[in-house]
Amino acid sequence: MSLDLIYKGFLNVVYIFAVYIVFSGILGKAKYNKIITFFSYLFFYLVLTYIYLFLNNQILSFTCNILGFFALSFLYESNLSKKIFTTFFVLSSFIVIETLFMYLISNSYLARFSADFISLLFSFCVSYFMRKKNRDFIPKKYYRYITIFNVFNIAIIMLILLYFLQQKEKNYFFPLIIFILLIMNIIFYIVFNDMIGSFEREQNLSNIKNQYDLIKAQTDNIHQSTLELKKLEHDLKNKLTPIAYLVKEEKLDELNEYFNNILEDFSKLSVFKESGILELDGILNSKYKLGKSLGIEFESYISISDQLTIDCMDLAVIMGNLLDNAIEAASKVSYKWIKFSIKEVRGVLFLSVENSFDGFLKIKNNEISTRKNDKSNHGYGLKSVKAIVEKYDGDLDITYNHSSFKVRIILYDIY
Amino acid sequence: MKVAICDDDVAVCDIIEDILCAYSKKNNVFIDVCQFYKVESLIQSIEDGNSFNLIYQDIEFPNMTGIDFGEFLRVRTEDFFTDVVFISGANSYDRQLFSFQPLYFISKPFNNDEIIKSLELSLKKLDNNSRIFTYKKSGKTVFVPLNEIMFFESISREILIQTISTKDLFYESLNNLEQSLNNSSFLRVHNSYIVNTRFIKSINKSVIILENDFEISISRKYKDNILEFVEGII
Repeated sequence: MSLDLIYKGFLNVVYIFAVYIVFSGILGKAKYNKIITFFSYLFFYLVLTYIYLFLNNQILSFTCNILGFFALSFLYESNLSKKIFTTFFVLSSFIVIETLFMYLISNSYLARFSADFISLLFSFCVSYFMRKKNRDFIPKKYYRYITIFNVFNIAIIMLILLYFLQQKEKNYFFPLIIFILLIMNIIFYIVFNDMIGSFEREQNLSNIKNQYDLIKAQTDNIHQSTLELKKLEHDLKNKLTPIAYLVKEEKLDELNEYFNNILEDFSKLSVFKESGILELDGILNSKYKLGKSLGIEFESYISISDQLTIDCMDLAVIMGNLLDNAIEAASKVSYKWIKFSIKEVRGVLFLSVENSFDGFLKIKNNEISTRKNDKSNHGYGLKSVKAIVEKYDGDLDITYNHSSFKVRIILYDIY
Repeated sequence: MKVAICDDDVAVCDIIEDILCAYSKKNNVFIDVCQFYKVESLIQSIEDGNSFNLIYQDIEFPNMTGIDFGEFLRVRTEDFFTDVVFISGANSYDRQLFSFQPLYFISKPFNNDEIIKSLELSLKKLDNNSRIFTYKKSGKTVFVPLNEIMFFESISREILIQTISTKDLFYESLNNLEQSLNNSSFLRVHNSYIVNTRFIKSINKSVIILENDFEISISRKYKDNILEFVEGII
């Protein structure tokens, strides 16, 4: 085997490795186990290298790249537009880098070498950038814009290549155009990065607002309880006087009825058995009042200690979101009910919210999606719940039939 | 069924006893009720040899509390068969209470339904007590009370049956056993394990710990079973 082939074969390994780095950076963890992933990349490497070394056809190479990238994107868990975006973004970037070096450096070995290693460096940068900012909540439309941008990138390069391949003399015009294209790309991504930044700030503000709402619900609850307690204290003296009289007169029936009335007053105070955890009770009471005002019947069982090491804000967010969804669904049907339970058994924390609903679900990408119209601002409730459950390495289960919907969560290691 | 009610408030004891008697008459179930006003008296009664199937235990007392009783029953005498229902006037519970594996938690003021619900749960468990498990070994049939079996483990083509006091091996497949058991107390948690839920002390993501600190592995394939079990307790 000639040295030339070995050299080119080795450089292709660098190239494939760069592809792997940038794909995992953008698309995250692979869906399948490491063996399948490795063999997929290996297969792609073999096909690509064969075409490159023995067939030496640019168009075939390009086609192989684009199909290969798209196929590799299926190794990862993500939606279709992100897969398409990744394919075109990576292809466009590598083409720009490669053509630039091919025409800047006359020595084809050195050119190839530099192109592949700069591509690798580029991949690490992209991967670092994506991971550092943890870009998960970017709306799909941004991906679409960049994909279109990259498609045009590639189109420009292809068209120019086609034109310049027909020229006999070497021309410095072409690398100049590529270089300008590179600058344009950089500017575009800087602007894009800023746009993402402002979008993330908006998300943060929205999160802070949610936390504020939670705290406010808590404070309202405390305020309300204090007021009612003061009122009851005040009434107590008045309530005790008739009792003395009824006992003296031995009017047992009236006494019984009188006591039942007082007990009823007590049960109206705390709307249901509270958990004793302040943040949780705040949100439970506020959702209870909201649900009641929409005509929903509640049934609950709560038994939990207040010494859990689980962050009570997390519990409040979980219950708040699940109850919001439950209220939204139950209010749409005629028989409105919600049953929820928070209990500690056998060393685990069990949470469940069950509600009546109309049987219709919107499912996208194997996940339940919002039915509300304003898609970019809704649908984050269940996502937040899933994120929190994942944080504690717990289990989440969703079951439903035509008339009821149930979410159950188990959290382990609660102390 | 023998029931004990332990609360320093006589009125509470009377109310619960009335509810139990009404249920007993209506459903033709024999219920024998004893009242105690101090934890010390209940403990003394048990030490004297009395045993109960179900105990309604108040938590708040001036001297020995419901927690002390839980420690006596579960830790000192290691009795995990007696069902305990904790009654409390407070909002949240001390975490120690959960380690005593109560059947139910009731808060004051309570209503009749909660007492009845806990009673029926206990009656259901009692019903299970009399069941016997049989298997064949060397041509002979062996009888074991279901209540004493902690778990079944499949080892190649045999099954290891672990009871409170002994263990034994017999030929059977775990799948067949699972079908023939058909008992809500027994749960399949792994390809090789069926566990008696009465002996579960705590559950982990990958392992179940039994009363005698035995560890049973869980496989994700059966996590739904565990979810149903946790949901169904109480």
